[in-house]
Amino acid sequence: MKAAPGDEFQNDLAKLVPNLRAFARSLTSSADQADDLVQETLVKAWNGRAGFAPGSNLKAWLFTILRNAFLSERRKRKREAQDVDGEGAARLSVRAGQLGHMDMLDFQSALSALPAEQREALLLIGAEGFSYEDAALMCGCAVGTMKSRVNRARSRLAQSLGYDGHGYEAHDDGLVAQRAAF
Amino acid sequence: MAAADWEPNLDSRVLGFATVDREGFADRPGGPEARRTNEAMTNTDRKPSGGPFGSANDQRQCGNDEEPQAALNVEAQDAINRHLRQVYGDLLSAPIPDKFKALLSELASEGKKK
Repeated sequence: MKAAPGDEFQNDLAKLVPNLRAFARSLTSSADQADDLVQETLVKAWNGRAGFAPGSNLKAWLFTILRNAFLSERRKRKREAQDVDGEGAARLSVRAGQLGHMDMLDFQSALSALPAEQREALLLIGAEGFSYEDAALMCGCAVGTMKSRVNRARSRLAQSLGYDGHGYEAHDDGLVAQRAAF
Repeated sequence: MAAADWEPNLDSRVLGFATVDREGFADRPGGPEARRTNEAMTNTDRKPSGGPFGSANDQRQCGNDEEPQAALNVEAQDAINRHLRQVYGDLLSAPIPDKFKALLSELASEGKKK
């Protein structure tokens, strides 16, 4: 039996909650704030579902809503504006996985130190897999600007982590081990 | 050097440097270098070095957001991508609190009532 349109939309939203939470965590300074943002996004998406064109990119639509909600909230809380440029993703605390713990900490630290626009661009393109065009639409900038932000983000990370583009300086054992495994 | 040679000319007062080395810039510390810099800054006849939009350095100074970037080597890019996927993957795989399912159910039931 085919699901009703409302149920289908509800299921699609549910599937994307992890992505919304991950993106929200990269924007906000706390898990609670991120979850509030996701809940607000879900409510807005549900209430505005008539405006969503079936077959178009639901994830991009939801990310745009979430991003706009975040920016609105940020404008309300001027005092937290500084957070966007650094502290926000500092709490991107995740457990260390296969990589060495120090590697992950180094990377998280370097990622957190990126300017908010660059971090956002890198996550949208590099982690979420959006096209440059979709990411540019979401962020309200030109495609070239989005490419530039991603490039700058990668360059900064490479510089921070010791691979400067002139040669791979695999000074961390975790990376060497991981490279060998591939 | 004659004493008259040390008289600042109009150019040096207005522009902050001597167009002719009457003040003996070449003999002072950093003199030739400073003079070359000044000449480069005021030489409006020079051709742009980086195409119609100027050199990459010019664009950087103007804060152009679409400046060309030096390409990272492939290994560095791979390493960054792997780290990024790892960090983001852990965020994605974090357990989802029940409150989200509850919220969606609530929204759906409200929608049905209407």
